[in-house]
Amino acid sequence: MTIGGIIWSYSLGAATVTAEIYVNDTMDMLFEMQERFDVEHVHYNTNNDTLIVWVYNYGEVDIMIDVYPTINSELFETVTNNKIEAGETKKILFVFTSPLVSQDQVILKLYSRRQNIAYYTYYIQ
Amino acid sequence: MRITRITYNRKGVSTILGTLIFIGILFSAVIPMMLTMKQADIIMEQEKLELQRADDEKSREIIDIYAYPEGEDQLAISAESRCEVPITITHIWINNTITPVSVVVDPMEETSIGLFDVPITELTESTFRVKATSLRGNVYENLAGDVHYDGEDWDTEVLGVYVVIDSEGSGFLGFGSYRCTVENDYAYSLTKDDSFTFGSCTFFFDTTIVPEGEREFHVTVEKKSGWFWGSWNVIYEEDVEITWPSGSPVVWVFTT
Repeated sequence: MTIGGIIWSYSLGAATVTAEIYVNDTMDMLFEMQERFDVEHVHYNTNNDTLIVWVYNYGEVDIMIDVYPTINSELFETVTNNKIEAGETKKILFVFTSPLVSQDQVILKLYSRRQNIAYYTYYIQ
Repeated sequence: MRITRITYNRKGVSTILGTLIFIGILFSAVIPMMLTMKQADIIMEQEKLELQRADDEKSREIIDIYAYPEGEDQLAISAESRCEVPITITHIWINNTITPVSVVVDPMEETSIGLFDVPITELTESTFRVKATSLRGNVYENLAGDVHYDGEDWDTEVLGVYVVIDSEGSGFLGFGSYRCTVENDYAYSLTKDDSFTFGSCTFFFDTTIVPEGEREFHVTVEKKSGWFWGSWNVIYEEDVEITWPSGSPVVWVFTT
């Protein structure tokens, strides 16, 4: 009886933990799939050498993204930890020490913490 | 004899207890665990299907955005759906200013999104780039390009007539073509044809050069079955007018 009770309670605990891990993993995968974001608008302000990027999170879950701008094939300083709530458009600023000139190419890579990626190419006007 | 009977009875009790514990573990631990996992799988599959559908709807979204001046310092923005899914417009961009809106554009319908103030000063040039963002994440630019204020009057990059022929294809052994002519009484006349494809096609007639007050056009669509033989038959005629700057800079004509 005692051994049976021990096996029973161990099995119960193990099954609960296994189910919980499985559900959590599934939900993580679900959130990863539900993520939807993109660059909605970009503007370069020549007065203060600032590139303004508006990112739209049109998915169902809040996201945390890091933005990597590459200017004429050179990686610029990254802006990390941008939390964007579901349905929100967030403005992200990049301040440059030297001004960008017309036709400079800016490639923006947006990485979410759930490993989704979005790209956007912008040419300075 | 008596001892043997007692042993037999004990063996039975152990078997029954073992079976009960096994069934207990099965029903109280394993089956709930499997049901929970199954439920998570079902939610996952449902969500996958919904996301697939949402992505499909996003790719089906087609909408034309028009901006034209209204009053002295406002832009009227309207949207015309060209698809079968309802579209919700969530943001309007005028240059770098975002304005949240919530306007649903029904399938194949034209809807006014609203009037938006624009900062213009007399005798000072200004250019306005208009965009609209949908709830599904698509961004649409003004179909007629930037709207420009030269200090006195408004103009836009493109004025024109779109002619859409929706055909399932037929003709002589699959050969045939459409010819489309847009003309007016003020020396504007342009003909375009779509040789040998004989399927659905779209023609665009740029009428930007036509001055204000002369933008009434007669649209004629003709069809010919066959390759180099056959004769042209008129299948559709319509008079259209581009009312810019008091209305849309682009006019659409549909025929089958």
